[in-house]
Amino acid sequence: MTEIAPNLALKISQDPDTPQQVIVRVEGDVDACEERLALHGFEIRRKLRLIKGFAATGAGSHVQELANEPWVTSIEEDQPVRAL
Amino acid sequence: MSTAPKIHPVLASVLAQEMQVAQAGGPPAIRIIVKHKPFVETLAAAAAVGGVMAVSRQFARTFSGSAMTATPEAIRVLAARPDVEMIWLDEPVHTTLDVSVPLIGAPSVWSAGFTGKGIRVGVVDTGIDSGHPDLVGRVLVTRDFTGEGETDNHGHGTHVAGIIGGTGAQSGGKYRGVAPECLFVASKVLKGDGSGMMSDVIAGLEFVAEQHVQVVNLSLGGGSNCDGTDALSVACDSVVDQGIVVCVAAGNSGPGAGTLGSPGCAKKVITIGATDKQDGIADYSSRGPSLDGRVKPDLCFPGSSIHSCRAKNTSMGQPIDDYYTTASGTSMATPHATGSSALLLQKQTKLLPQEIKDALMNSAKDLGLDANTQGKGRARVFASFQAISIPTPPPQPPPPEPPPQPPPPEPTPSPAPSPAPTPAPQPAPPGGGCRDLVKSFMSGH
Repeated sequence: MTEIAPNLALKISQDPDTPQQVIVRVEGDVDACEERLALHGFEIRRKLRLIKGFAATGAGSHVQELANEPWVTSIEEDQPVRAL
Repeated sequence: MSTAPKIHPVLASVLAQEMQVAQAGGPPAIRIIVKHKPFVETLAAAAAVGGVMAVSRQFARTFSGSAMTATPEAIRVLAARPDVEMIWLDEPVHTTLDVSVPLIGAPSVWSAGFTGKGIRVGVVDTGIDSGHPDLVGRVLVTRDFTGEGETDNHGHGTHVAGIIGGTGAQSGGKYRGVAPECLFVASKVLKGDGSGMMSDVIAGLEFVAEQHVQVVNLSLGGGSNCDGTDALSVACDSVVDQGIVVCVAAGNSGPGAGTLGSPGCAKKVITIGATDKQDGIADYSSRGPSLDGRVKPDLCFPGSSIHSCRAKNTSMGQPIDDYYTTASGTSMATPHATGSSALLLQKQTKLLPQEIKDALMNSAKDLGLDANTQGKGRARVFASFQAISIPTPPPQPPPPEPPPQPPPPEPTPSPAPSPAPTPAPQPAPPGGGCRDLVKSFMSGH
């Protein structure tokens, strides 16, 4: 099972129904994983070929299900960044 | 008697540095302000001191004193006089590009003929005002990832671009960036309020990498201290693996330990801290170590009160006039590193990112602080430039019938984007990937 980043896991445990913006990294063909991610109920916002992953939005409960998939290598929160 | 109490600490620091420089060249001239007792004789006596090169101003209403240019030795002689009360460094009002760029030695690199000409630099930020007189004609392409449009409606990215490579055209050359003939590729990933999402930054990184940039600047960050395995840090390291130098800001969460964010904790990037105008480490500059115990930042550049380009219709920082504004942060230090990398890459285009990183770090001036505060110290790009050697091609016999060669392509600014390269095919991971799984999923297995 893929480990969900701790800050994301905490958010999901507090409110599993709230949609979460996540970055999902995968193993294998990114285009093919796009279909699979959608089947898990995720709305894909960006395909991120640089890291073999996606920016996607899905409910916390879906994130937990996704973590069980062997082709998923990591799931983390899509965090805000700022000009420094 | 000791002259130290009469020499202000900032001046003392400059004197210590100048002594090192003086070993290589002649005695340097330093602009100072001398407060002395109100006797005309004092000024006459000071002017007679060997090494006092010019007395430029006299003050009487505020205090009795004089502004002058003198050698370090003359300053010590003056300090020993009983009628001299204090000597300060005659500092500029702002630590601006005209100070920070010379401080790291960039003009000496220009004098050697290297201005970053033709080096393609990616700026992943709030966009760039491509109409700014200091940048005009050199922003090759901008791609918006925020949905707001390509205009820099914040000003941060334009300020950063000016530090990297503004020509200083609007200021008569005064506010010239580090690599004033480089070219820019811009990804707008931060909105008008200066914020964005990591996934947008990753997409912006991907875009500039596709545009064949040689250096990327990331004056942004987010999250808390990290170990380099988060998606943005991994993306930055992936760009480095493609042979592209990536300079990232350490963050502005200092002075506490372990205050980096992502991508400051990435493993292969050059993480930049900021120095202040006393050439010490700025309080705000984030400190290491990273969450997994690595030393960060890697080195520091000037980042405080930097005067650079102001984007049209923006008010970021403290505007000076319609074309320039002043800002502080590791955001301002990082583009000094990016411009420096461009200078080194113009000298040796085949240098690997790690070699650029080593050249900058190994030539830095040790500020005497711990590694997780200063990294290797404050950069000296001319020393780095001298440290990298241009490889001498081995002698080759001339070919009997040299075929006609087309002229080498000149990198010329063009508003048209370069074609994106075809992505290299990815090897299938051991044990299969998503395609096999999707097939089995679709077929019910």
